[in-house]
Amino acid sequence: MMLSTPVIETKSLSKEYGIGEIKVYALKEVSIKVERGEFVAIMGSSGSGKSTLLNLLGCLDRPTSGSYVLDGQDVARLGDKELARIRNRKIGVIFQTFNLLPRLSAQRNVELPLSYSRDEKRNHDLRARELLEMVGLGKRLRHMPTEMSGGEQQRVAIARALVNDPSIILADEPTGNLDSATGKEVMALLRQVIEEGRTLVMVTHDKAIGGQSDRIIWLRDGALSAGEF
Amino acid sequence: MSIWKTLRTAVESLSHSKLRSLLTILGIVIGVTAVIIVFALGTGATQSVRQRFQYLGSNQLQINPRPVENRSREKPITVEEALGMESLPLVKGVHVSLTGTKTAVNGFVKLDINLVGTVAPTAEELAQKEENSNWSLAKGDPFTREDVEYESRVCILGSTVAQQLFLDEDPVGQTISINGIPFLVIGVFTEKPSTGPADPNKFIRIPITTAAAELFGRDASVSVTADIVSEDKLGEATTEIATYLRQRHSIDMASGQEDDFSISSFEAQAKAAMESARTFSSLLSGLAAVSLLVGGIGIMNIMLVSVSERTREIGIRKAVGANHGDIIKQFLLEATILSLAGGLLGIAIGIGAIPVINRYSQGLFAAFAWQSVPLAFTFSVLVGIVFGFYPAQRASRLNPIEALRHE
Repeated sequence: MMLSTPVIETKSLSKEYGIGEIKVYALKEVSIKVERGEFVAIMGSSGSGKSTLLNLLGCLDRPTSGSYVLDGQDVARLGDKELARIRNRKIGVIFQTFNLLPRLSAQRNVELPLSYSRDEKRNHDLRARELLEMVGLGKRLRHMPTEMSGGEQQRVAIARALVNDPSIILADEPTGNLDSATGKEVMALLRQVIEEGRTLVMVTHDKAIGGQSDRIIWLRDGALSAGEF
Repeated sequence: MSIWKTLRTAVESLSHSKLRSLLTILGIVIGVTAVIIVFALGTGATQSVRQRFQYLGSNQLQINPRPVENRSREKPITVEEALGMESLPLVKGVHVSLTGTKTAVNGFVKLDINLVGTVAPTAEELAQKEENSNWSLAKGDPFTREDVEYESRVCILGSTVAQQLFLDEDPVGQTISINGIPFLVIGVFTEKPSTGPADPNKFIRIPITTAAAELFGRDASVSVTADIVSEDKLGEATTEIATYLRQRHSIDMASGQEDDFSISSFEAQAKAAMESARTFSSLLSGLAAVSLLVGGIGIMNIMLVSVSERTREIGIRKAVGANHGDIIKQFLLEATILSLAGGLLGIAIGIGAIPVINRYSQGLFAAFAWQSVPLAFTFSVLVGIVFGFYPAQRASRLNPIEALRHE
């Protein structure tokens, strides 16, 4: 029996930047639903607000107005501690520019979310190795990000996103900085990840990648566009 | 994040910019060094005053000649007057000496020596142990109160003088001449250990009355240390001695004439010494405070730079689940480690500076005070926390996405 409680539900979500009297909408009254286990692509031209939406979904930014219910929880009401906990436990984020800490080894980068989860019982070391092995970097644990290729760095970032076993993965142009062959490998890895029942929301401007998704959300000028189906 | 992980992160990021970290803590190093030295000087002053007390006793008065406005009225305190104080009811005894360089001759051997005229030893002085006695003799006997009273021409030789004037001969019973005046040698002092460049054994001691009468002149001025019967009689004894000297010097207090002498207790002198040590210490404390403040501002400055340099790092950490508290903890710990390192370095330099001060500075005596270490330690940690707080708070308030966009 399928209970249709969406894992992500936004209502009139807006983000505006005020410069004096002039207000610029980065996102204008966006209402979307994402079901558990879905792979949704957010597409649109640059400046259409897709990254803004993804950042709001990832609790990296706060909306100006509107509501966002994540896994049954109204996120707009939460304080810093709870938001940090959600970013840590429920969401794994993957960025176009990888965003690894340059002074930490691959393994330490993957361990980073664990060290903020106040779960001392868990063996951080073992868990990080496990995930790096899963993404095919079992032999590169001690390598620094600068010693790795873009594809390898992105795989470290994926391992980091998965380390706390989150139910939602958010990816912002994860293949944007990679050549097409490496991009395919990374996509294969992400598809493997969602087969375990996770929800994946991905921003992309690559139609081929968007085509692999269950559904595409189109944005134009910060609002949902007719391209949605 | 657990405290150990935070600590590891902090140490890693500090060791990444070693030179900068070192320069940052310089202010703290100087401040803490100053704290350690302030305490060492304070303790040193207290100790040296205490030592003086021990040596001179708290039941003594010091009587010195003092210049007055009308120079013609100025009279010396003579040996006769000094010895006359001994007959005052509240005075137990006096210590007085006349010293100067004179020439001693035995046959063809001629020698410049330090001549010391003193009173005869007291029973207590004779009973003292050899190592801290001024009257321990290798040969012969000391002179007596009678010798002092009758201005006897007797002398006791320091070991160097005995050796150079008489070689292997026994000097006791022989006669030498000092500045042309014959003296009978009645004893030789035991050799004293050398403590400086001057030979402490190149002296001849004679009765002070003889010294005044034959070699220095009867009106030679002396400084007198008087032993008073008991500590609580110091005030009365001062009046007694003053009355005696005014009478001798014909000073008429009623017509407003000034005393040409001063009487002070060692207690008063010790108080004055402690007072000046305290002034000096408070001056240095001010310096330490300013230096710690400057050091703290230095730390704050560098932490602010560090926060803006590491905005992206903060964004990444927040994106994967760090909250305000985690970020504050990280930056606060870095600031504290910095200032603590500065503190430890300052403590080491301060302790190292103590022997250098004692060796090369005159009139200052520094003694390491252990209680300055926890104090300096606390100070440096406090500076780190106080001045690290603002940058840490600024770091924690960054919005994760804005921090991530920062290049």
